Amino acid sequence: MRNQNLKRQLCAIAMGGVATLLLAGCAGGNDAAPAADRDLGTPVAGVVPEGVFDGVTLTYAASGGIFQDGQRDAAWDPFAKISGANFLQDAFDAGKLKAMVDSGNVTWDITNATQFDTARGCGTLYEEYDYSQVDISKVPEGTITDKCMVPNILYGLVVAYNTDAFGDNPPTSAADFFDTTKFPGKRTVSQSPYVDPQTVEFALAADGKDVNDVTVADIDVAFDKYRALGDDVIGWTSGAQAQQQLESGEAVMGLVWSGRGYGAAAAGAPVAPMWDEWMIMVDSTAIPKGVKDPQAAFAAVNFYLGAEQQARMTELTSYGPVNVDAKPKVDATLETWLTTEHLETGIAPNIDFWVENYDALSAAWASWVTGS
Amino acid sequence: MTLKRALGALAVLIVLWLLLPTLVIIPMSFNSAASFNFPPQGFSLQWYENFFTDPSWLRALGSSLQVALVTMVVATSLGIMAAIGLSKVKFRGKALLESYFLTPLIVPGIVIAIGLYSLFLRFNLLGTLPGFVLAHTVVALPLVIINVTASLQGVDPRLEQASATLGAGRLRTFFSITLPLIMPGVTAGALFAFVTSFDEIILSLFIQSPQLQTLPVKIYNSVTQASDPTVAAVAVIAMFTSVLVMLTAQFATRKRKRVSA
Amino acid sequence: MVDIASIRDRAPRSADGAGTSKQIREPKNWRPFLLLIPAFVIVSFFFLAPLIDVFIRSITDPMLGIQNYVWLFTTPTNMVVALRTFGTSFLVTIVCLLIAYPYAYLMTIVSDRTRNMLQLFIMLPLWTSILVRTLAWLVLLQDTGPINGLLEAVFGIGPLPLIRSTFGVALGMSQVLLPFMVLPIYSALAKIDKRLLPAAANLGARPVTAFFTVYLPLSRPGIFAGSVTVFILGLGFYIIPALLGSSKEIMMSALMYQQISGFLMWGHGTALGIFMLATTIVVLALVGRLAKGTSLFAGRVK
Repeated sequence: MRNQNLKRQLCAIAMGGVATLLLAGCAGGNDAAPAADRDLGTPVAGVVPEGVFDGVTLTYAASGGIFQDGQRDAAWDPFAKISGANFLQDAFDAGKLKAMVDSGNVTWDITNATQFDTARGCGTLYEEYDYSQVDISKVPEGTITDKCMVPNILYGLVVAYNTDAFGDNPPTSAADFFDTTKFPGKRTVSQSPYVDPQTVEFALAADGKDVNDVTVADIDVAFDKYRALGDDVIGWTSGAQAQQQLESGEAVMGLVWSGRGYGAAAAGAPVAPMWDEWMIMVDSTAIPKGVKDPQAAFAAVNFYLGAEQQARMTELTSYGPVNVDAKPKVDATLETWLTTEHLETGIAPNIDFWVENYDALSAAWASWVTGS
Repeated sequence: MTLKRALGALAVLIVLWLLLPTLVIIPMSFNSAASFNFPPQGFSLQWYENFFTDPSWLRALGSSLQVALVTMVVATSLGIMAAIGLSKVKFRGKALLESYFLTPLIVPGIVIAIGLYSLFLRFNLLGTLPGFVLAHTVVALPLVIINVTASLQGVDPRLEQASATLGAGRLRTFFSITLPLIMPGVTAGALFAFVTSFDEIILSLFIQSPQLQTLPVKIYNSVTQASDPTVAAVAVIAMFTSVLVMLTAQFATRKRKRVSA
Repeated sequence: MVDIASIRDRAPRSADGAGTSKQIREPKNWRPFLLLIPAFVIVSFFFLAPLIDVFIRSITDPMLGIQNYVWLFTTPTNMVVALRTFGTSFLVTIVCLLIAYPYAYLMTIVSDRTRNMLQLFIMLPLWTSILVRTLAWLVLLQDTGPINGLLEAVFGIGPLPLIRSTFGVALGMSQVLLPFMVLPIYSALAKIDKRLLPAAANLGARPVTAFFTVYLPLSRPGIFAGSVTVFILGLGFYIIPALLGSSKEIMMSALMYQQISGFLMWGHGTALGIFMLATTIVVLALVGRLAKGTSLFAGRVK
């Protein structure tokens, strides 16, 4: 009976504890009041009224490093200064985003996502844009690929090669990437946890296939091409790693993001891009579904799209601007890596196919990435 | 060569293997070139300069220290109570309860982290000081309990009973008799708790937010996202902090041992 | 025969009647339980509750049912990764055992001061964060790093893939886990009566025989405790395989993260997590059965 008393006391205390925690959770929860509707006038890219977002906190989530720092310095911090908002930076994680959206407690306001992410998640993970609040008149043609995005940056998946090894006889086609006799040495390819359809498309392009004619069976064909390289293929799981591998010379060739290739070159590594055949990449600026203050988020994105902001962003991150009027001041090295000059030889992705066949792609990608 | 000498030589090799790799970070942090390639190319203090002039690194350091201090206090208090409680209770499930407190040490961190993230998300604890402290306390608690229990075993229970018969209340007995006697274990446990929290990475990665980021999180992000050697300087600073705290723990324990013996 | 217990019970009582003997019948005191409550609550809310949450998700995301576990056991990649995780952990355990045993033995035959120093050196790596140590290995083992440089200069071997390989991961893990093997083994070795080996020699046994028939079996509790600790800790490692291994060496923890973060399949990821948890518990139970009497409270080993 003593024990029963004790048990009851313990239970009571435990219940009390749970109750307190729940109350704390609910009390300190999201602001119940919806975001106020401010009058911002007609949106003009790169412009935001002064002090209109005083006291508002916005968070931008992206993949970090120089990329995010550059965007922050070029657009988000100036926006914060003029509008009075408090702008925070966070590291993007798709799993966390889903958890946030599912739980209704969305703490990110703007994210950088791939155009495949927004195409797939439009309406479920990402909000549909209210384009009346964002000035998209200067956005490059064809870069708005679904209703849940405006472009974030214009860049590419390019072959970066070591000029010390292949300077005299550089690769000139996607097929050259897979030719280990003519171009011996290790190549680095994406094995990041995030599926990249364009890595698959690149292999198919090397076989002369048109990306608009892809079938599901082609997915395995593409991975087998990479697997056929055997030990000559190493993987990068992050942009930083890809850059590191190029810088250290571990890889003599890499299928990497143009910004990372530039990063290695700027650090003094002997790498150059191959523009004869490359994959055009457009990242999305996306708004998570259930965002707390959509008006502020759209205003920030609108500011981001300004010519001045885009020019500055390119200067800081080396990724291509998404405003046709932007005139970034670039040095010779950066100029060789700017994708905007080589759009004619670039291959645009077949987004619809990858959205439809995401499951097949991700299963194949999982196998590729885990080395099986 | 006697066995002892041979073993001694082996021990030296082992110690070198344990310590040298970490020491390689030190010259790296003085590299004048902006890369991770070893050997470093020249001497420069720029990475330390970067660290001390970058508000986000300093903020992360401050957050780490703050979280670690509070965790130390919370974990030590709870740990002392739990250790004493465990030493006094007698019931059938006692071994199970002991294991219960110790399991956070062996369960894969990432599993706890994922669950913690989803829980914290619901209760708005992400990136908050209480959230961090409570999460870190869970992994620091076992170390405090182990250390305090070890000390408690050397305490003669008759001392407590004697104090009681002399009229001292339970609390007074604890503070005047028990606590001084278990001080070595408490100090060791407290400092273990501090270092565990200061170096904690896996839970912190998931429960952080831009509002509160600890140093290990920033280091990890830097290693995986950027090729910035500043992280080597930060690593050296973090390393020295932990080692200094733990060395203090060792000396405090040993000094007390000599006194109470 | 003198009954010691009865003498103890007849020990003189103090003035106010309370016994001074340890055998005094203690009143069923519930107060100590109160002391346990705060710690119990914290551990329950911030450790047990998350685990329960993970479990619930594994059977409800995206729909109620065990489909995630079906996926887990029928997808070859998962089993390959699981085997690789067990294999690497096992390898690391053996390596640590082979290195730790002589070190621990040395600790028993040196002077007190030397022993304290040896213990300090073993503990020192534990005090630096695992992240810092992994970073150091990353720098050392990379293709253009000093180790490869040394190999090339002295032995003329081309750059070996030291990172992005099981070797690199095992090396990093062994360094981190070694202290967890040394301390329990030392603890057990210290309790072995030092006169046993000379006694065996006296009875005619050769040193090697004496070691295998007398010393080694007596050190078994320490070996078990250390091996179990190292193996279980190794199973859950995330940072080291993530930074030192390539995707080809992916281990369970990273696979779990990949499912959740890369594929947004919380159901799959949490199922993997519960699987990791279950294997940990099974290993503990199995070894607990094999090494009876060894509790997690090392000090209590009698």
